[in-house]
Amino acid sequence: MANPPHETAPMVGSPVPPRRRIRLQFLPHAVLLILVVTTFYPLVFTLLASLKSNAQFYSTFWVPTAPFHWENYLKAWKELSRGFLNSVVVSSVSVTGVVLMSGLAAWTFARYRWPGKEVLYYLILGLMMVPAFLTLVPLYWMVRELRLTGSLAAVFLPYLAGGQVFPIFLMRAFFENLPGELFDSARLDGAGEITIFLRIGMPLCVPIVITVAIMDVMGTWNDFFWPLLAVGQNRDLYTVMVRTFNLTGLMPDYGLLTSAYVIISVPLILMFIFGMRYYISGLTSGAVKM
Amino acid sequence: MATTPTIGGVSPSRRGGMRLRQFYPVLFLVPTLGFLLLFSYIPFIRVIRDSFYWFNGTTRRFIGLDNYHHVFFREQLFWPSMWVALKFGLTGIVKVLVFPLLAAKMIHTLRRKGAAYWYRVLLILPTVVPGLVTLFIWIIFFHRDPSIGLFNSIGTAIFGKDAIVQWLSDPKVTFWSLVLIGFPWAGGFAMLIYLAGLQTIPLELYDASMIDGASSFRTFRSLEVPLIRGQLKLFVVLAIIGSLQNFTIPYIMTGGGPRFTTMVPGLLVYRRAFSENLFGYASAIAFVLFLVTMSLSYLNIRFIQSKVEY
Repeated sequence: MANPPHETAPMVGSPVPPRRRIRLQFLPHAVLLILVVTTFYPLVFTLLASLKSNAQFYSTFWVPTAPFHWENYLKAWKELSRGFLNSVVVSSVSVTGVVLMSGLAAWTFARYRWPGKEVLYYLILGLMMVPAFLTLVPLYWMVRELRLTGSLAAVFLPYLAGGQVFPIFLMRAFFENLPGELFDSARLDGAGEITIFLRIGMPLCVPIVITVAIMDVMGTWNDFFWPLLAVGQNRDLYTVMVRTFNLTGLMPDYGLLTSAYVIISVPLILMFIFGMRYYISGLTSGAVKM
Repeated sequence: MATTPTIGGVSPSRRGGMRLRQFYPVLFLVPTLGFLLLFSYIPFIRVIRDSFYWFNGTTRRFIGLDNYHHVFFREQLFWPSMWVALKFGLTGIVKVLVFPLLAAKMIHTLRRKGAAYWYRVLLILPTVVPGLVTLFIWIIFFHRDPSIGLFNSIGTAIFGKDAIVQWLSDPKVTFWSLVLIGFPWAGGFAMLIYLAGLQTIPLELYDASMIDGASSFRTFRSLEVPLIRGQLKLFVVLAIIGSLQNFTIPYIMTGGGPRFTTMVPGLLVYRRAFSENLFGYASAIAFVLFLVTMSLSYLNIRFIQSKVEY
């Protein structure tokens, strides 16, 4: 597939004949606008509702109504702060460990030859086939046997294992495409293997590293069942998702609830905005050539 | 790969460092393999072991294949839940094919690349919102009180006071309510991959179809869809596998009810294990599901790799 990307494509080779362009361009814009509006409606609804008192919410949920109840956010934050902090810890530990360990593993698979490599690689890749609910029961008992339930380690240690599989797959492909001469010359200059990995390999693969990091944070931040099971009745260790789930069951205060929904979405949205460019290209790079 | 060094690919003059270097790959893998062994492989083996035991959390007794026998012949919810999963799988296929493909095609058609970029971003952004938040918002949308629930509000405005639908508790409706969640299902991974696939189609092929006088729709049907068949198949597979594995949506929205119309296999495992303490039995259901997923994946890998040619 050595064709030029569309961005630089000449008009001649365009999918739509120039003559009919104007009329036809109306249709895509109309369709896309409808899709964007319907996709965004729940978010707009949530933002509007988060500034309402219950009375305002019951009277109309279509339009914003003054006065705005910013204190909903304060109340929601008071409920969530502990869980928020726990989630930050869990996601940070998980993303750091996963990026370093799976990067190192992918590096080994991509840049060295050793016996049994492909067998081991497929043994790891095979874990992608194992659904989460399969290991939920044994993991539940294992964190109890290992006496981890009193700490957040119960939540993040299994993430450090399961979270590595797909990143190893993604990063190996990336590392294999790097030119080998680069590393040979570094080796001649006396650089150690770890130095080569950290100082040359990882920096060259920033896009895929960011993609992997975003995927891991999204997965761990959003996970609900495992944190719920892992810490048991230990409410102080609830992650923000478990806290939000409990809140939703407890109080029918829609302003407070929707504020909570906004609060727990903000970190992911911010992260996405900053990493968007890399994330989109990283996600699509693997699956295009099929 | 020609430049990949063999282990310790160094000059003979530095033979002293060679022995250590030979172990580097192994050392690099130690953290990964340690974690995978402890939290992936051992749990996997334990599930298989537990499935042959009566295990309620305190006592453990070997019972051979009794759990499996019970799953297939006595479990009243196993086959119904597989049926529900199949229905979710089929609707999931429709969801992942129709609007994502439409969105990708429309974005691909756009002349102004700036606009194309922003539509793409706008359609992906909502998928970053936590799945649980989406479900909670849709719970509000489905609320039976028209002054809270969006759908009953619209329904009663158009059809009058009697038009209230019990979106999440009427057995005839609830399955479809869960299918509706996330409408129009246009954004996300599938759309991105379809779009990336469309963008790799050589422009000469468009020229050829234009010279042949093909209409836009004909080009879409006879040129573009066949050429991104690989991507389309991938998401069909993922939709089927996802329907067998996902149980967050029914758990949060309905708990599997009403009258088990939204009870999926994953939720059945969860229930039997953590509500009823039948851990050995739940392991057996889980392992059966794993085998079903594996066979489906195997069939699909062969199916996918069968023919993709440009």
